[in-house]
Amino acid sequence: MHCGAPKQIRRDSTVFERISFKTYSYLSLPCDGKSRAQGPARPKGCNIKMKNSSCKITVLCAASLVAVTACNTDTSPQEGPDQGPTEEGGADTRIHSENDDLWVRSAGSGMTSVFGTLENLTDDDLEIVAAETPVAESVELHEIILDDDGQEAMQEIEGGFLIPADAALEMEPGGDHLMLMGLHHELPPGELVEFTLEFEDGSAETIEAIVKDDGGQDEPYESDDHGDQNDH
Amino acid sequence: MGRTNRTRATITVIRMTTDPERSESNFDSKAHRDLSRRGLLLGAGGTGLAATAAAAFGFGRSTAPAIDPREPVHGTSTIDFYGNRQAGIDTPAQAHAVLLALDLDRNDDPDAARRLLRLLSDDAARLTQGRPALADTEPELAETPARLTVTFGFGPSLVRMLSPTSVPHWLRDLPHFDIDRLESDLCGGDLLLQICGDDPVSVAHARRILLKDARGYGAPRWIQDGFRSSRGARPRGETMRNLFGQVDETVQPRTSDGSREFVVWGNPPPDSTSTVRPWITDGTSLVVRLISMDMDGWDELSRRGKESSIGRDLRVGAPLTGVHETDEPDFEETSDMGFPVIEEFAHIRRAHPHAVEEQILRRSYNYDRPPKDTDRISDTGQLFLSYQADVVEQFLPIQQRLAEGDRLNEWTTPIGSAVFAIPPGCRPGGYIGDCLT
Repeated sequence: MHCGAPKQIRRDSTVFERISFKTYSYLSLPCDGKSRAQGPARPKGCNIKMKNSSCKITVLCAASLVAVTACNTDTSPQEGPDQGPTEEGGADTRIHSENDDLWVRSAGSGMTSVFGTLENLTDDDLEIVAAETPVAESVELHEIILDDDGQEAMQEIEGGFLIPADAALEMEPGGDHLMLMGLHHELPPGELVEFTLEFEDGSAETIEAIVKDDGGQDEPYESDDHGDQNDH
Repeated sequence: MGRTNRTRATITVIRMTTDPERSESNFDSKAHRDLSRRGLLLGAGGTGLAATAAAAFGFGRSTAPAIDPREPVHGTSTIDFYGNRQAGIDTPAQAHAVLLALDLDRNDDPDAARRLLRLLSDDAARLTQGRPALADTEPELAETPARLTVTFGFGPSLVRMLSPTSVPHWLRDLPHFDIDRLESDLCGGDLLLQICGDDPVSVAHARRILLKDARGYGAPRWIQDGFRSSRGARPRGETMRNLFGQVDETVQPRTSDGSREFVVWGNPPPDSTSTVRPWITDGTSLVVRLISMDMDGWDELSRRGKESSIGRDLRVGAPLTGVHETDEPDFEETSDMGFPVIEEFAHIRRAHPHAVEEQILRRSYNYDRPPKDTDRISDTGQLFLSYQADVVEQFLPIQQRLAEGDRLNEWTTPIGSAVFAIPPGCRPGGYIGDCLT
C-alpha cells in the first residue's frame, strides 16, 4: 500500500502543517490563539481523525473548516460489503460510531451535548447538515470558537460537519458536538438515545448513543454562569 | 534550605540506581558527572551527602543492580470481557483486587437497574481491553489494563428485581456461625463489582470509573481491596501465601480434570449422581468472607505449633504426612506415641470434603492496613473469595465444620460476609444481566 498524492480542500488557508500519521492517530492541529493570524474566530476542536494511514499528508487548518484527505491505496477500491463494520448495518451504512463510543451528557431538562467519534465509511466526503432525536425538540451542530476576547464560546456551525472520506469526526467536550435543545424528559445515565443524522444529499442514517454523567468538564456554554473556563 | 537540597540529591541517586534504561558502561561515568555537578551546586550543605553517594556508586554498584531492561512489560495484556461466562473467575488470579459492594437506591425499578448495568458493562468492556471508558477524564490510565477484569455479582434484591423467578434458593445471608464477629457495614450488598488486575493503577482507575457511573443509582456499602504476590515475583502457577506465611489454596478444582467445570459451573461429569446445578447456565455464586487475622497472637506460636494447627508444613505447604505440596494428606497416620500426625482439629482435616459436592474454587486476596485500635500495629487479614455453583451444597458444609472446630479459629475472625449470584457473561452490545428477564 502506498499513498497517493494528498488531496486538499482549501478555504482561507492560514496555517499549514505537515503531519505524520500512524493508524488511527489523532490529528491535533495548532489552532490555538498564538498561531492565529488575522481574521475571524477559529475553531478550537479541529478533530478529524484519520484511519487507514501511516504516511504523511498535508493538512490545512482554515478559518472554519479543516479538510484532510486520507491516503488512498493504489489498489482499486474493493467491492464488497465487508469493508466496514458488519455488526450494525449492511452496505448502506455510511457513518459509524467507532467502538460505539457516542455518548450524551446526562441532564435533567433543558439542553445537553453529544460527544464521540463519527467515522465516514464511504469513499466520499460526507457532510452532516442536521440531526434529530425523539428525546429533544431540536438538535444543533455546534463548534467551539474563540470570541473577540479570546474566550471559548459555543456556536452553531455554518453548513454542517464535514467528514472527509475515510476520516472521522471527533466530537469531544471543548470541541465539536451535537447539542440537544429542549429535552422532552430527563436523560438518566445508561439510557440509550437514538439520533438521525441528515446528510447534504438529503439521505439520513440513525445511530445510537448512551447517556453518561461526566462531571461537566467545564464546558464553555455561551450563557454560562460558572465563568472560569481557563486553566486546563 | 540545606534540607531541601539533601532531599533532592537523595532522590537523584535513587533514580540512577534503578533506571533500567541506563546501561552499565555509561552508568558509572554519567553518574559521577551528575553527582559532582550537583555537589558543586549544592554548596556546603549538600556536599557531604553527595560525596557519600558518589562513594557508594564507586564501590557498591554491584550490590544495586539495575532492573533488567529486557524484562518484559505486561501492562497491555488483556482478558476478554465478552463471553458466555464472566471473566475474573477462571482467570488465573491477578495480583490486585478491589471489591465494590453497592447498595442500590431503589429495589423497585428494574429499568434503572438495567441502565446501570448497561453503563457499568460498557465501562468494563472498554477498560478491560485497554480503552478509555466513555467520557473518561483520565484516558491515559486505561492504557495498561494488565489483565484487568470486572466481575459482576448480584445480591438477592437485584436478581429479584430483574427476574423474580430466577432467585436461587441459596442467595441469602449465610447462617450465623459462633466464630462470626460480623460488622453490618462489611456485609451484604445489592451489586458487587470485583475488579482484579496486575496493575494497581488501572485497578484504581476502573474503580473510580465504575463508582462514578454508579453514583446516580446507588452508593458503596463496603469496599475491600487486597493483594497477592505481584506478577513476575514468583514462578507462574505457584500457590499463593497468606500473611500467616501459609501456602494457601493448594486444593483447588482443576480445569484439566473437569472438576472446575463441575465445582464452579455446575456441570457434573456424565457418570455423576450429584444434584449440583448452576442457578443459570454459565452462572455461579460467590461467597465473600472478610477474615481478620491476629498476627500478634500467631507470633506467640512456635513454628511447629503453627504447622500443627493447619496440618501442613510452612516451607512448601506439604501435608504433615507428606513431602510435596500436592501430596494427599493421610488422616489415618499416627505418630510413635499413637496420636494422629494431622491433628483432629487441624484446618486441613476439618476442611477436607466429606462428599464430592464439598469443593469450592478459592480466589482470595490478602489485606494489610493501618490498625484501627491504638494497641495494635496492624489490621491484617484475608479477603476470602469462594466460587461454587451451589452455596448450600458445596460451601456451607465446609464452613459449618470449620466453624465448629478448626484450630485456626483461634487466630482468625470473620468480620464481613456476603453472598452473590454471578450471572453469565454478555455479548457485544449487551450487558451483564441482560439474560435475566
